Amino acid sequence: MNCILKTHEQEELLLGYCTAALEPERARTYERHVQGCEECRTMLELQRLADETMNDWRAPEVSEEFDRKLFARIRVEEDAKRAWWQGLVPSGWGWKPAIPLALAALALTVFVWRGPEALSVAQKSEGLKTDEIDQVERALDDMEALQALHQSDGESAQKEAL
Amino acid sequence: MNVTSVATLERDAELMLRVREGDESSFAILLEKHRNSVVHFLYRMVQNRAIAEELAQEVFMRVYRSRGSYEPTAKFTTWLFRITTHLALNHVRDKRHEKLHDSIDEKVEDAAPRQLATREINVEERMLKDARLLEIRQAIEQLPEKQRSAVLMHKYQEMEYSQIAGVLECSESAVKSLLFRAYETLRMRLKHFNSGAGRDGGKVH
Repeated sequence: MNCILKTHEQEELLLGYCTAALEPERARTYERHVQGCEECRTMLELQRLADETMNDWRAPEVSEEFDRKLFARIRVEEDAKRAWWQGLVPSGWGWKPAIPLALAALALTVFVWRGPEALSVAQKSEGLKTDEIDQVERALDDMEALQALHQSDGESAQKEAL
Repeated sequence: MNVTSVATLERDAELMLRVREGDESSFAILLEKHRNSVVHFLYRMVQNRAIAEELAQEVFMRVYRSRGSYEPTAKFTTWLFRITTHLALNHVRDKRHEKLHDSIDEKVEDAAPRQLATREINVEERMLKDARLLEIRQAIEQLPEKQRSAVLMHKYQEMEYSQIAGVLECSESAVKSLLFRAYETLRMRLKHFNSGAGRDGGKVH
């Protein structure tokens, strides 16, 4: 047997031809080659026989219980997943009452974790407030002094005009 | 995910994204659509109906469990068959030590009832067909696992090389090698049935 095709090319053309995946021109070229090549002709016949035999291999119907079993398994698994946190809350409670509990737990965690730091920040902001009050008081004193000066200047000017 | 990318998604991926959002009816649609192909692929891989269905249950359980993290990065069927093949190969590897012919007779009982062709076929012809079928089933069962899954996906799921490569997580050329070797083995096993090989003067189609 002296096929001019390389093994890989031979196999690719054979499978492509048998699954109708070859482009028409390539398929025609292959057909012409097969007419004159005994090796490829035998391969093609055997491949067709294999295809035909595989087509005869029918798989059995899926059992009617398949979906029901699957959804039952899903339900069991979902229920088991839910159970761990539902145990924390009395039965009959929905999930909504758990929100304030969760928020309280979160606040407590934050306080425990960041408590001292948060306190010092509060003290710093208290210090800032004292400085601001001093500044405002000083500004008011300055304004009063300027007003008094302005009034005394006005009175002396009136006297001069008279 | 924006509107445009959702619009270009394949239908199955879209359904899976709905499952992710908690829509169980979309999961039921996906199950209805792919149940048979998954079970049939597994049946041909393990050649046992009960085991095939058990493995298929696990496949769909895994699909459901993965809904929260599902991202449509690959075609849905590629992802589905990746899970399926993974489970099938694990099973085959676990059961490798069992003798092949211990189970082949009982497996024949699993097969679908023989469908008679419209024309009557004579007893001899039917016996020959049965013998060929048994030969090919044994040949497929004896193929190395990856060759077996590649050939079943190619033949029965009609997957292209690129998709099989996606499922088996290998290159396209590796898939071609797997398929060429597998089909060569199958052809050789049927050689003695091919009485007319090379005798019809090269008639094609």
